[in-house]
Amino acid sequence: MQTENVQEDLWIPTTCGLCYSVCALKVHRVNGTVIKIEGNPESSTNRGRLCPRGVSGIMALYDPNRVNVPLKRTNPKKGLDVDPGWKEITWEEAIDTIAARLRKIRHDDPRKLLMTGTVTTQDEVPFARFFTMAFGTPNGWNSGAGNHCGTAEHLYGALLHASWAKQPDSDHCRYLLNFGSGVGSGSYYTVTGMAQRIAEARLRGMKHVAVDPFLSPSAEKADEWIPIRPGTDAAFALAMLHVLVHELKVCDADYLKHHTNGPYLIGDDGLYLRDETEKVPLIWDPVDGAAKPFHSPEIKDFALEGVYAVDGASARPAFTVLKEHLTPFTPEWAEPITTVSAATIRRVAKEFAEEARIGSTVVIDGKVLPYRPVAVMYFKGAQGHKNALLSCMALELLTEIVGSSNVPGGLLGMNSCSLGYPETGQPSWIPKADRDGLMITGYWPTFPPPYPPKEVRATETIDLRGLIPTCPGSSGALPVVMADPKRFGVPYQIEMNLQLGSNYLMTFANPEAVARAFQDVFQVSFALFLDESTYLSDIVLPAASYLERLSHTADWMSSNSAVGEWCYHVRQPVVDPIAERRSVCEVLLELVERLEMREEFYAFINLLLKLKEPYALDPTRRYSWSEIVDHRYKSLFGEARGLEWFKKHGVLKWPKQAEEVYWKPSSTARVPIYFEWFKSLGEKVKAQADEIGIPLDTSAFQPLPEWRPCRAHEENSPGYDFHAIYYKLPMQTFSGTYDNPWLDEVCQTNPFAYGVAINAAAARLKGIEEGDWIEITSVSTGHTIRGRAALTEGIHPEVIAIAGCGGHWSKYLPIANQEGKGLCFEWLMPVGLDNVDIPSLTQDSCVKVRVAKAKEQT
Amino acid sequence: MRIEVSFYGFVRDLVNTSKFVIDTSDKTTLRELLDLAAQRHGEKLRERLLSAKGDLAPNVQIFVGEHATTSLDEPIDHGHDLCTGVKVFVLSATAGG
Ligand code: SF4
Repeated sequence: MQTENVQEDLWIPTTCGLCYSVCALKVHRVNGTVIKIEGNPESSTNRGRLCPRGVSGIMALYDPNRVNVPLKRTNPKKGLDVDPGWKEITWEEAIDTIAARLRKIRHDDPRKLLMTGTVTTQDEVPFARFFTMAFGTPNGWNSGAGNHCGTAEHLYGALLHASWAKQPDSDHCRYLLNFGSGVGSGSYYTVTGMAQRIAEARLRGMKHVAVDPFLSPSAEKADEWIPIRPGTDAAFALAMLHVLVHELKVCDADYLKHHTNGPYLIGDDGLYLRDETEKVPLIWDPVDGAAKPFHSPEIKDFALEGVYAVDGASARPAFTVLKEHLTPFTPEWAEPITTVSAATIRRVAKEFAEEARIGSTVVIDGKVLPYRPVAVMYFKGAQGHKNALLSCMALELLTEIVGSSNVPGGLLGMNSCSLGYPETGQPSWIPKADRDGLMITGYWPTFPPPYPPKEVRATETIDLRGLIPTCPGSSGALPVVMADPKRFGVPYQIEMNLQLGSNYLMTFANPEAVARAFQDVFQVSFALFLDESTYLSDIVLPAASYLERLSHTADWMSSNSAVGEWCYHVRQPVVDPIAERRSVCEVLLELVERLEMREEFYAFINLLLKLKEPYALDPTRRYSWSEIVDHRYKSLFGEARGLEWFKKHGVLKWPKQAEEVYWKPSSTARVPIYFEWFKSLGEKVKAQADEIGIPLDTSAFQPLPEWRPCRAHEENSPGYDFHAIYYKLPMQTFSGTYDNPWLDEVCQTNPFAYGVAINAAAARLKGIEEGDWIEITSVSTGHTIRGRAALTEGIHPEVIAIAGCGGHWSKYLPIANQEGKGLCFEWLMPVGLDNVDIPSLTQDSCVKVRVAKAKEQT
Repeated sequence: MRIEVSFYGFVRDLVNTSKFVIDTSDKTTLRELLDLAAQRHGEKLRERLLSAKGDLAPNVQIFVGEHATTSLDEPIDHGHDLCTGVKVFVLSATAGG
């Protein structure tokens, strides 16, 4: 470009919106056109780094296939590949039609409205939630995450770490045991910042051990890779626990006594023994030889082991019950389940125990704190199975037993405790204890938090979460209930879906079954592209991308690094919305006015954003979207730090205090190592389900972990001899980025990105060579998908691994819809409650498949 | 005493108007107020707002004037300025992920 032609040359601070990591950007705009996107080194979230998606955002901004005008369907028939017959309409017609529908539904029964969202609209989804709440519906589904959602992991995040997600303490951890999470590579939270932090941690000597069926983008960067049969991580963890407490006799007794319910006395019925007056749990004081309420100031010591007689009843501390429970789970028991040798499990347990350095301390910010430099990470890989609740429990107990939870070196909540910006004390949240002494989160991004246990009710929502209140994430039951609400006692049918960018047909399970649940629903999609799920839409609205819109909630609880600095950003338009694209939040504000629900909507904004005077919204006047964002910033950070300040500076940061990062030692809230309330909750769920007439297997609601086989482990149909799993790619976000030409180019350089990873020896036994087309047929759905074989020694011989959410078929995605651009794993996965972990409503995501060389090799 | 009660959120299927006014005594408790509302709008309203034990459901937040309250059994004029009335919010436990 000739410099004399440059009238404008700006670097604009904003944030990336292509996944949930919220990396800070500097966007270079010249003469009104974005020419480059870089990471903003001012932010400690990503420390100047971006992933390939972040760099490629420019292509999505100017993509000629973007939706630029409102569209309505002219073909009343709906189906997976039925052409909707799109016709351009004006915004006015679109809003009139939508408002009329919403008005009727609100009058009739507001519960008939559903909202579906995804991670690339996570800044808009909270605002849309305010809208749906004010509207009066309880129904929402973060379906873009779908089966990729951490679900049960988030439940334990709440119960044990007071946070949505966790990270190893990258400043001090010395041993990272990683069960299939993408930490430090291309997925999981604060991806780019964490990749740098994990690399630095390895340079200073941290060992990273990856337990994973596949030498995944994360496992390949580990010091050691241990291939494991999918869905058996709990057996590995249980055997480690056995070695720790029975063979090595290792546990952090001080931590267990003061920070867990390990000393709480458990009766023969499996429930707490409670004192007569206050009804709080009892512990045994071995000095006085007496049972005392857990919070009694008279306690001299807490017994962790033994059997005691209390008022004629026999009782054992929860730790003793756990220890006895672990007796049969030897490494030899785990070996045939996991295919990992008993010797390896024993060695890892020993390394873990030694590195935990129980009893050691470290001084940080002048405070003497326990030093436990080991962390156990897991996410979808270990958790996404029918045994999710009990598997996650086993994995979490490794951290609890050695006391490495939320202390230096250990596993840290992201971010469990916030004391706020020094000038305002906002935002602030601190975990607290309930009457039983167990922890309630200080903040939780959805409402209400999973603990204290909620009442089991007849299900009023379309996702079964009234009946099963322990599901914190995307419910695997939603498409099942939506297809037949009467069967589940839901007294209405969903009539309308407000779809915020989620391509749920490609992110959950069998697209045909999911489409059946949605095809009779009037769907309004805010869309960047005409993806597969928009085929079911009645109206498509041209959405502004993250580079064209303003947001107040780009940052959230788990977008900040667990260590270092607090960092709050702005997401601002770097160009005006192109063509007729509009921000979802602005459209919702217009709908609020049309529906005359301003008073209710503002009341929810004031309540949920905690807007206090003088920043509370006054319902007697109408606010613009930028005014609301301004109020939000000023309410949090003071009059001087409003929207204009953020637009100019981009980032507000301040150092984290030691008691925010390492909050556990000073907290009086205990966490469970014995999940007593799961047992009674399960009984209530069962009773309620029986009353409704739903056959539900509630047996996994139990207080202690075990390994249970998934469907895939019990499937023995001849020829179906591989487990199919999926994994996340660092260069794609779910199904939403596959049409990006730069990312396509990157994926084409990597045979695994669009291909099928298969063990080289196992492949050759079937006559399959590198690059051959292979057909994969699911025993559960009968569907067959095709892809090219990518042979490797880096995968368990019983497993094939498919990356991300490729295999698009929308005719409006000309790059992504070509054969060979990845596979849609979801065709292999069935929809149904027998494929769901009932207590967490986690969708299983591994399946038995038949693999054969395709007859057609072109 | 006239109390304006406003309902917000996942309750609109039961309370088809977001506001109503109740004439009652100074000593009325929130529980009694909710009883009156349930008489007017049906028992399902009580089930939505309260647990089987009669506690406030965890997704319900009530403000008397500007003050958040969890006590159902104190008189609602207890030290509060009632000019802004009683606001009952029923939040939805929408899924995350
Ligand atoms: S990690 Fe996520 S937020 Fe960061 S650059 Fe990549 S896509 Fe954007």
